[in-house]
Amino acid sequence: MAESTADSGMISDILHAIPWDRRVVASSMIGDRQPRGQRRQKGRFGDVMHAAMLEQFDGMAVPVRRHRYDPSPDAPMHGTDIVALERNAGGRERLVYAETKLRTGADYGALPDAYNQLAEASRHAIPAQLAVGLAHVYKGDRDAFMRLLRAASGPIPAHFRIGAIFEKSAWSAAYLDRLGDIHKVHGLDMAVDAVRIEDLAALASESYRRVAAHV
Amino acid sequence: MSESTSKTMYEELARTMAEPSFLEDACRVDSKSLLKDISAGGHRTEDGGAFSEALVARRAAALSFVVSTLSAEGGEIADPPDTRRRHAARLARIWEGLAKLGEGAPRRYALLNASCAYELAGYQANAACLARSFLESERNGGGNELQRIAAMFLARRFVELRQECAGLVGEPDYDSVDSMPYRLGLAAAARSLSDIAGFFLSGSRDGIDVAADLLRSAEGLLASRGFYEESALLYGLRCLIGPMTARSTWRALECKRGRPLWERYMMLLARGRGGGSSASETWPSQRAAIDGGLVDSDASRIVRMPAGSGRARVVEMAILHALDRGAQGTKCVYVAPCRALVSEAAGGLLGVFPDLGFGVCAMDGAYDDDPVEDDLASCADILVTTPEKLDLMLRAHPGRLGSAALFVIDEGHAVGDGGRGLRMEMLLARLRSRYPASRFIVMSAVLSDESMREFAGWLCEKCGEGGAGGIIETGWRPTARRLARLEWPPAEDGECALVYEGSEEDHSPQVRAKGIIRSEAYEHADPETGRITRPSFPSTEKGEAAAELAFRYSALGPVQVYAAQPAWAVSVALKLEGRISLAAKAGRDVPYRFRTGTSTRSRRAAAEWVGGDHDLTRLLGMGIAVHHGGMPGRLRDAIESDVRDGKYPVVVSTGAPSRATSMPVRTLIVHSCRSCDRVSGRQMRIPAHEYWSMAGRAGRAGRETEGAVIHIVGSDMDRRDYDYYRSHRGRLYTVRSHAFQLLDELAEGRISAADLEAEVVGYEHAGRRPRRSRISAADLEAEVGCEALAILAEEGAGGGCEAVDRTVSATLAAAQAPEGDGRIAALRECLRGAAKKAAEMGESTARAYAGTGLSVESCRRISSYVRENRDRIAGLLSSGSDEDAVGLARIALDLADQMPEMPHRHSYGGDTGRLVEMWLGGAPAADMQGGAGHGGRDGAAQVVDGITGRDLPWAVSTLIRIAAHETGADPASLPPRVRHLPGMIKYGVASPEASWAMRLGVTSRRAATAMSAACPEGIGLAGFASWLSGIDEATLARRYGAEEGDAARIAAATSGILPNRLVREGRGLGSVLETRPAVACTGSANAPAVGSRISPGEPLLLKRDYDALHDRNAIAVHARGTLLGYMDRGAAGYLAPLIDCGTAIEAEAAAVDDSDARREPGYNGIVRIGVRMRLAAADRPDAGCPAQPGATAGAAEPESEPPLAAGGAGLGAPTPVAAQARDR
Repeated sequence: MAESTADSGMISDILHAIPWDRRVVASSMIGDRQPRGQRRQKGRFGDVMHAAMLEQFDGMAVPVRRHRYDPSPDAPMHGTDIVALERNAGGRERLVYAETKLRTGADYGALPDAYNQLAEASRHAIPAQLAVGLAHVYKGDRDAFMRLLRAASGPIPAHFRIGAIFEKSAWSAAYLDRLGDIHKVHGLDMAVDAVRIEDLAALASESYRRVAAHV
Repeated sequence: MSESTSKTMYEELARTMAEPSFLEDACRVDSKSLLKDISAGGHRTEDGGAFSEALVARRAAALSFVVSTLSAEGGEIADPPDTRRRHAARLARIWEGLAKLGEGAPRRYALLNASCAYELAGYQANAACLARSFLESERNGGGNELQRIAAMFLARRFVELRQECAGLVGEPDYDSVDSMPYRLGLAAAARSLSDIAGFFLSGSRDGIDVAADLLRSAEGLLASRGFYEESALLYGLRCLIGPMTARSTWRALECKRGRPLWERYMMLLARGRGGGSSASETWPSQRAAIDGGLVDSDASRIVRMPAGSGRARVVEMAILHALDRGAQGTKCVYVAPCRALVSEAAGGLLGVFPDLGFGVCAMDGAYDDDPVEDDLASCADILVTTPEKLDLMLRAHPGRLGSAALFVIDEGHAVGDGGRGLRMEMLLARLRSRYPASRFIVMSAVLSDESMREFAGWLCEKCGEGGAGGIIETGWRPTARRLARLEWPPAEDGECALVYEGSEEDHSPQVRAKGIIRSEAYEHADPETGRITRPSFPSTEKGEAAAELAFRYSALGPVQVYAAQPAWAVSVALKLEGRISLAAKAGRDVPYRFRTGTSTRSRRAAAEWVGGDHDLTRLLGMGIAVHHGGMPGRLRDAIESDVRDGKYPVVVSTGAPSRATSMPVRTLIVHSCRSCDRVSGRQMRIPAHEYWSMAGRAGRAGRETEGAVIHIVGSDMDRRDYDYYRSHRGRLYTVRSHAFQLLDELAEGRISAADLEAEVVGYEHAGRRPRRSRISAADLEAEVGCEALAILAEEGAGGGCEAVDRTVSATLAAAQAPEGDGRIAALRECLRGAAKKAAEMGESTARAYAGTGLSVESCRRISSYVRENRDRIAGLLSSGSDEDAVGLARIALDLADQMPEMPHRHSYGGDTGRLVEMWLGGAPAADMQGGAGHGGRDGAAQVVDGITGRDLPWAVSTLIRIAAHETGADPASLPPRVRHLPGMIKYGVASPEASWAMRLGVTSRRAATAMSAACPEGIGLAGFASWLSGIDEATLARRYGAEEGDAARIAAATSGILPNRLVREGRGLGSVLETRPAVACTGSANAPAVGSRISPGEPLLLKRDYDALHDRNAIAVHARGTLLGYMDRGAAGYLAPLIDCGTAIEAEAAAVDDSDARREPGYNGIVRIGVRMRLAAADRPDAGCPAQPGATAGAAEPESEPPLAAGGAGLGAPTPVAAQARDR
């Protein structure tokens, strides 16, 4: 979380050309990155955690880390929480679009919500994410880009993931059964990362305390 | 990017683009979106299968990224650029289709992607069209600021974009910012796009690289925060910078850098016309012309370009090249074959050249000689005219074109036309003979390769390779064109098939849709009886199918229904009216476009010419225009003008006018294609090149991305016709000299030598006499010498046979004939004989006769009449009273009865004197048709139009010319009402000034008469133009009753007469800033009060007013938050383009003159303020303007304060006197 807070030099470059008040802008940018409401904090924590899981357990690269900054209340953003780059056993790259739900209490609707969001994204939002993902990979790794291009421009459907991060006591296996029912309708190429953690709320709070100290 | 990466990406791109599954899906998107447009879901495609728009979008996104990246970084290494452009065009169509469907990606994202892809493909007009579509839909919600400025950039609204971006770059109210990363990215993008727009406006490359880097930073910032659409959009824009700057006019005309005239021209293009999109880049067709030596050589050129592919810009560049290189007084002449094209071409040239300091004058019509046209021609630098008017000018005023450097011949293939071809060929031959050093540019869309070579050999001998170096050829079109057929009547299942033909070029397959049109019942109750009826529409009749198609397709853009005969055209229009009426009765929605009921120019003209209760007038009121050769010419002109302005969703027309005029539409529906041959009476298929020439007008650049031609196939003959045209797509026209055709026929014994002579000299005056009708010996004798007269008038009697020989050797016939061909000698002898006969009458008589455009025999009849009635005629000539003017016109009309060149008079059996009186008195034309013989109301209107519009003005000018010759009167010293009588008759008004008002764009005779009564006396045309141009739109309408659109027409026409003097003189910016123009404080109600309180030295704000109809260069002057008034037109005309392109000018009050206001307190007392100006900061990096010759950082203080100019009354216009002095 601390790493994802650090801004690159591009903001500095922009402020070199746009004569705005650097102090106010920097403060505002950091402020934006630190959600104040607990619900948003948990959501962000879940995104970061799921991205880390995909990187460390599945060996994926996460070129684009999405954080929620809607342009305006009237123009909600499209797209999934995470876009990751996966190389499968056959050596082929593909982009993975993930939606994360972190819950500390029982929530039957969380996984279906995530699934529906992915289904909606698969209809509309993927092209823009794909373009941005390609640009990132193109900049960083030409070989990977070429492999990804072959996959992305071919008739291979996108791969989707749901990160279901629940406090252990809030989890129910019935959630997955319900997800299965919806899956029969949409049929996305999808997997679920189900994670049960004791004291999840406390963990999120502690993480934010450390991030604040780090920043 | 390394070569290997580039190569691999090209291969990957090509592989995927050629994949059958991808092609199929792409085509399905294409066809599904097309059908969605026109059928509102009530259709099905026969080849439809399941496919995922989302998957197509995903693949398109990946491929678009590759094409963009290769365009920006890939160079030209591994793949020809045309291949890449084709891929980009294909992707653009996919994105456009997805945007229409609203599937696979958000509509706004898909639309902007399509725009970017079209731009990469080189279809800038399509890119701008979609971006404008985005902006229009954005007004109704959706999209965000970043997408909006991106769309403005793609729509090339650079001036507007820079204003918008200035607000976004400025420091925001931080507390109100929802998302700082987005806002910062937006500001960076705005700054970057503004700087890039600065390049297109000013040509300065400074800052382009920095702007690209900034755009990259904004793109990265937005991507890192999850603004995927915005980030991807900025990436696409960044990749466009290279291709767009490479295609920019500044780059394409690099050789003209440093030439002030050209630099100003490029600025004028870049800022756009009338607040519209900038013309910042050249199209491939225009680059082909530039590469072909259009602007770096003085040699003649033969140019073949499809209709709508940027010919106007090519002509502009050729004219500017000639004017820039020529000495003072150089003239350029643009010859277009009909009034509509003259009007269209003049409109385009008036949009540019007056701001470059050049006068533009349009002259249409036949051989009526109006002295005002002499004045205009002598003042104008650019003449736009019909061949007849140019011919008349050469005959009557041979010295008028003394320094003509360039002749542009539009629709050059008309030389081969049976009706006017010979006249055109002889005119060109005389021009070549008289102006051997001038440049000729022949434009055509349909000349065959063989004809191109022959024309080049004829006109471009200086280019080497037998003239082949003079050929410029391009087949590029700015929009796609689809061909489809509607199979009608429906099959047994009640459904007809609409079949879009596939195209190998863009891999589009055939699309066969059923159910687009089906017969429906329109149940409704009769309002009087209450009885329920259920009429169905369309029936199996072809006309109803055409009407239904027109109804459907008009939702996408203007539709032209082509019917080969006038009766069919009217029938289709009435059926469409019936369809609309049925929908209304049945309580269904009638689209707004069909219930406008607005008063248009053509509707007013129809009411005047055929009556308010006529079908045509009623149809115009419903948005349906009918256009055919049986209508009065003035009504046709008005309809053409309104159709060009997009006033009608549907125009139903017949062959001849639609071939000859420019009425671009979105969809062409071919109802029938066989017209009746005048000679044989048989139904003849129209030639393939005419069919495709007409089809070429489907798809308006910048208004839609593709056009469609739908051919209704209702019988076996229709199917054969359709197959014929389809298989002859691209068939071009091989022109054979008409004179040569006659020589061939002579050699084969099919015609006699006498026939030949008659053909050579007896061209088809009225365009009505069938070629091959036998001419009697008397007729032949009467017409002998017409062409020879022209040669003698131009060369003098001493030129004689030598001039004839020179002219004959300059004909196309001579170029097409094998060397030493005896047939050319026959032509030469024929003309020599005619010249000898003409020379016998004496040089002054020959000159007088030649200036009439009539045959010698007709002239002799008039001479004889004048000699017999010498005293009476002399009295009428010198009188100048209204009654005597009418008397002169009566005599002319009676004489016209004896002239075969004036056929309309024969058809009028009423009282001609009454006709003339009523016409000049302003009576509606519909009231004068009582004596117009048979042919019904339409025929009567046409006769009256022919008499008043063509025959009578011609007869009057002929009578005046010959009478002046016979009586020894000086034509220049005749009373104004006599001299200007032809013009007064032509426009149907009773004073010279009113005829000038009509010429300058006023469309109502009543308004013109009111203006003539109000204008100062004795001011001449220039003074009148100056007076008229100073009247604002509201006053024109309120005080004089001017119609809607008149103000804009007046502004354009007067600018052609009063070009910008400061530019013409080549003044530098510094010099202009020192002129201290005066502003009259009349801009608002409290302007005089505010103005009188202003002290010298007080700051003034100069602000461009883009909404002012009276002046496209209007600069408003504000002080203390009040609009004081408008800057003087001269200074504003000079400065406005510079301000638009980034030059910042500061101003302050130099002196205040309120003596007038003190003398005459209240509204009538005008306060005038002198405006002292200086560059805001000549060296500021963001000014984005090139150094102006003579510019200084601050204008030097004059030694003493100059007195304020008297000008500035009203809207800052100079007084008539000042203007007269200026322009004379």
